[in-house]
Amino acid sequence: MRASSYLNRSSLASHAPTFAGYLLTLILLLTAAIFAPYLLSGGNLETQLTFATFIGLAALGQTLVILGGGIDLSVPWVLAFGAIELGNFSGLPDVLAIVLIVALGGLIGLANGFGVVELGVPPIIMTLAVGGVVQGFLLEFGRGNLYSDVPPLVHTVVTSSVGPLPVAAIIWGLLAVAIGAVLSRTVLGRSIYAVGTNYRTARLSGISVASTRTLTYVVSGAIAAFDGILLAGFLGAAYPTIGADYLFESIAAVLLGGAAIEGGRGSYWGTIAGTLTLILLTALTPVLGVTQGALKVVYGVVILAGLYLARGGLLIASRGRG
Amino acid sequence: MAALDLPTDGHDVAPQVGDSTSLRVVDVRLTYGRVVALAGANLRACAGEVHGLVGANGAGKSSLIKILSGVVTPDSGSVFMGDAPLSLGHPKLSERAGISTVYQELSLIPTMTVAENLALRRPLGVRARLGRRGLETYAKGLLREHGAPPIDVSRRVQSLSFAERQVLEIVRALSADHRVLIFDEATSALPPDESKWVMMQARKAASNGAVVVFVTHRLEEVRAVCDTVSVLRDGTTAATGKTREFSDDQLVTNMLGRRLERLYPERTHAPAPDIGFEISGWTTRGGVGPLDLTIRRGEILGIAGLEGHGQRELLLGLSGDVPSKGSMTLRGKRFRPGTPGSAIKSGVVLVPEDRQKEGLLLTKSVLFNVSLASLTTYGRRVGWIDDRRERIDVSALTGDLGLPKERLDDMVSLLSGGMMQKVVMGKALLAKPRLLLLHDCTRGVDVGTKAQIFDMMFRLAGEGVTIIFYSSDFAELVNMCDRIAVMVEGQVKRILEAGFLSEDNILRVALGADSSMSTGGAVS
Amino acid sequence: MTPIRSLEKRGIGSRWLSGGWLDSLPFMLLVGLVVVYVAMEPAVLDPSQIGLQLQSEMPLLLMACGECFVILLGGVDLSVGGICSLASALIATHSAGFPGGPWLAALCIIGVGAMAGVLNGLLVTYGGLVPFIATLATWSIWGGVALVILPTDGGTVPIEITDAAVGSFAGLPNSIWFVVALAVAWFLFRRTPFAASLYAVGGDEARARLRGIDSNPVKIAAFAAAGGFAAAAGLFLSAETTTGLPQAGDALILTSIAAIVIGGTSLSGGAGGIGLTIAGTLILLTLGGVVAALGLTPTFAYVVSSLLLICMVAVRHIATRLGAE
Repeated sequence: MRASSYLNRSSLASHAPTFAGYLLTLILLLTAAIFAPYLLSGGNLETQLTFATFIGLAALGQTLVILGGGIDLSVPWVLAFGAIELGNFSGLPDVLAIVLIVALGGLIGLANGFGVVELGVPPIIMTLAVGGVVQGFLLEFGRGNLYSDVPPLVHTVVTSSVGPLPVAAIIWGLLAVAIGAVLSRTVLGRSIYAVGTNYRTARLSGISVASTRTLTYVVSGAIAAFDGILLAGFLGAAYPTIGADYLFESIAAVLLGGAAIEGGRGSYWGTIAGTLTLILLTALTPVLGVTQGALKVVYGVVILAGLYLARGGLLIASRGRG
Repeated sequence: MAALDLPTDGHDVAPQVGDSTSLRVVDVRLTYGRVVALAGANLRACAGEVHGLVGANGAGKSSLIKILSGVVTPDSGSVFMGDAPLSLGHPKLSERAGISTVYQELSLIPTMTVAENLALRRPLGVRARLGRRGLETYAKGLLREHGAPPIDVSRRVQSLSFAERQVLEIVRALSADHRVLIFDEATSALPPDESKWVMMQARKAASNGAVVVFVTHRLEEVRAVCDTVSVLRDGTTAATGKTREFSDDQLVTNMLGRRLERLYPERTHAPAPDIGFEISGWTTRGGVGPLDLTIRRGEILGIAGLEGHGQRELLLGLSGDVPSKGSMTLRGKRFRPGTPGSAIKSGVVLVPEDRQKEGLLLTKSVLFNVSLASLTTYGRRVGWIDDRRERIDVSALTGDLGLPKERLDDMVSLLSGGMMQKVVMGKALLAKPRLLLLHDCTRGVDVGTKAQIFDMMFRLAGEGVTIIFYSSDFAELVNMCDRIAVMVEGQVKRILEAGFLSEDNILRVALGADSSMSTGGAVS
Repeated sequence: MTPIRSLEKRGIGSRWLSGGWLDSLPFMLLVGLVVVYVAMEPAVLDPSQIGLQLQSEMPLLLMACGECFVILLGGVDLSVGGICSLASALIATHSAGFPGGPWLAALCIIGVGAMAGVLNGLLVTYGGLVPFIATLATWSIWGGVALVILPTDGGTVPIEITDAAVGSFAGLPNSIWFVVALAVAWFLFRRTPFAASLYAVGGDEARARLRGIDSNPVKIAAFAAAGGFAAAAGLFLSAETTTGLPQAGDALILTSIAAIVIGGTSLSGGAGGIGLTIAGTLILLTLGGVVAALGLTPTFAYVVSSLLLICMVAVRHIATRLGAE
């Protein structure tokens, strides 16, 4: 993106909420620097970045789906699916197992997309129901509640680092760049924004709205499954509720990054800011002596604050237009 | 059209200044962002008379009505009922002041039934006694009381035709207590009997002492029912006075501010002999068809008729939005558009009816919108978009259309109606259409933009593009088209050929009064 | 006057075929399921058995009824989970020495729920936030407050409240009376002008405004109702488990939306209602019973419910699309 495009009026409006998202992250970063500088030191930083990766990946698919005008409530269950199935394929070479599980995750996403696009089921309902089916499948056929047959390869990959950066975070970074590029520079990216802004206009303008929308769900499912694999590798264990927290976090990260819940506005860079905000909040809680309950309250307040910050940014941008 | 026999009491009442029973609009101004909707409009309508309000699209009629009915607050100016100033800004306030409006876009709740809609604002006492049956009886009674045609009151409004909804909207407005009754384009979809009924209601309300404002673009209706008339142009009142003191020509001149002929460009092209587009045995959803049409390259075929007789379905079916059956060929090649996307790839591009809801992505930039239908020329599906080439092409095109290059990155929502329409047309043109479908593309557009659009249409025709042009404005069709197909109830009743293109003829065919027309059009 | 084409009346028969059957689908399904269930387990016809079954579903039913108000507006309220948890925590901790007795405490807690709903309404109307987002945030806030008040399951619930939930009156279990009361209350409410305004705003807010309806109070009231019912759900949950459960509300949110949708209320607003929602909840209940009678696990019932949810929505969508042609 050329620097000059940031000064253009329309892109300012679409980027202002992202700026607001990073502003929020910055505020928390400063708070951490002042009150708990040890959080930002070597070992701690690595751990935080790894945690951020798990949220960031869950939110990656969610970003695409929300940009396209939908929402994916099945993320926690597909994530758990990925984690648990990792042990079921221990007979296969590791890489093949991973590819297979990611493909299956994508297939679940395809079911979501099919329901939303072809059957006309609202995304909330469809992804909720598919999540329920996956949940039922896992509870019935998942091998017990807790198991630890995680392939050593995965465990190593997830827990090792290149310098200060965990390998997991590097993987996340690469995916982030790829997705960011797709969204801003490709036909597919434009299609996603168009579909999320106004489905009817996009359709009449010749955009393949059905396949675009479906694709966002497929990617969400695939990445959620991959995220589950990484999470299982990190924990050394997998259980059906392993993904439970990630529903709220994935949605919150997207919203804190300045995306519009109705679609068509936002970017993955914003989601990254949102993810970092959530991580910093969680990390700061033991410092500030905050209990689990108070943390939830803070989450809610921060979301509201983040939303109004983003709107403030939009307002300033539109006033600047004269 | 034969003269209507309407009772004429009240015709000769001369409006008094400060009349305690008059509605006065004084120097009202309204601006939406950059767009000036009203620049000091005035109006005086007296009780007991029907006051006509006319003006071209974009002249400010709907803005004025919105102010009177409380939908928007003016930037400055005031409205008086007699000597008392009116509180403006919320429909409840106008309702309390006794202003009842028949809205152009209708105010019926689509998900509710006819009966529920008519009973919507009835107080607790009335509603509690009735149940569903009671509400239906109440509704039926209302319809009968006002002489409306029978409509099944248990049906949801969204399942009714537009004409039925228009009738319902009028009954709804009539059933509220009112001192002022406003009809905003209340007859646009109605056949003559029902239009007459509407005008009779207007007349009746006036003789009962109400102030009646009648907005219409049909001058015959102005003559038939309005005692006085005001002409709006460019947001101000260009003329006002007794109807009979204006000739049609004077009304039109006041509306356009220029001579009629200058709106339309010179026709320098002629359709080529080879066939551009052909359909045969063609049907689509909504009971449209079977149709047979043969249009030549560079020909502009007009689609005319009363609203709601299949024109929308025809265009949506041709563009691939809605499934259709039958044979379709474009420049000799057969094609079947399953989706709008495949239609556009074949060269069939639609400019949709509602530019804001169907034609634009309001929160995106001009550039984003214009290139939307041509993305694959600038990049493969998962490939990079050639930003530079895109910007060059879009700049060139929008420059031709009169959209300045500096506005390319502006959000479309900030543009005026005319500019928005140019963006939609730009999108269609960039996709290099061979068959261009225009769905009422001049509605709500200022005169200057209209002229530019007409210029562009002739230029395209000259380049060999086949154009199907549907407009609700018969005059436009007469001046722009090579032939006009008049649709009645989903069929093309008759195609008017050159030499027989007149508003009169269109109306006669639409109303079924064309048996006396010998030649002048093949019936397909 | 000559009728405009398509103004002709349609007979009752064709009206039913053309769309009326869709509206009665949930009831037909419920009746079918009840018949099957009773055939497999005749013992359930006993009033105390019915009472027990209803009792177990009551928190869900109450939450679904409250949520229905917001769904009718065309929105969604996620905070009902947090408000439910909050109410459960409050009754288990703060009702012991409450001046005025446990009943006043319960009433006040419902009031708190309603106030939380009002906050949601204010965020949506004057705060300009989309309901999904506003209630996502307040869900976290109220859920957090619940945990602050009661960090883990525990506390004591006044015996009177528990008795009210699980007791009987005039020979029938209270839960049956509650369901009847809900149905009757809805029947009466449906005829009020406020209900008409609610449907109007949910159906088409812009047009409702044109008709002189002030949409802000309507929205705030709907959220307040959702909050109040959510609190009632939390109270009932604590009552029947005799303990405080500061995280119990979360699991119910999405299931309550499922019950509403199965019942036939449209997510886009303006159509449906609590009668249908009661039917939807009972469908889920009976379905669970049938699955249990078949000897299958509750997980299986959950999966079937999810599939049923998809089917009901898809069938309606396809039927409407076909009907339009």
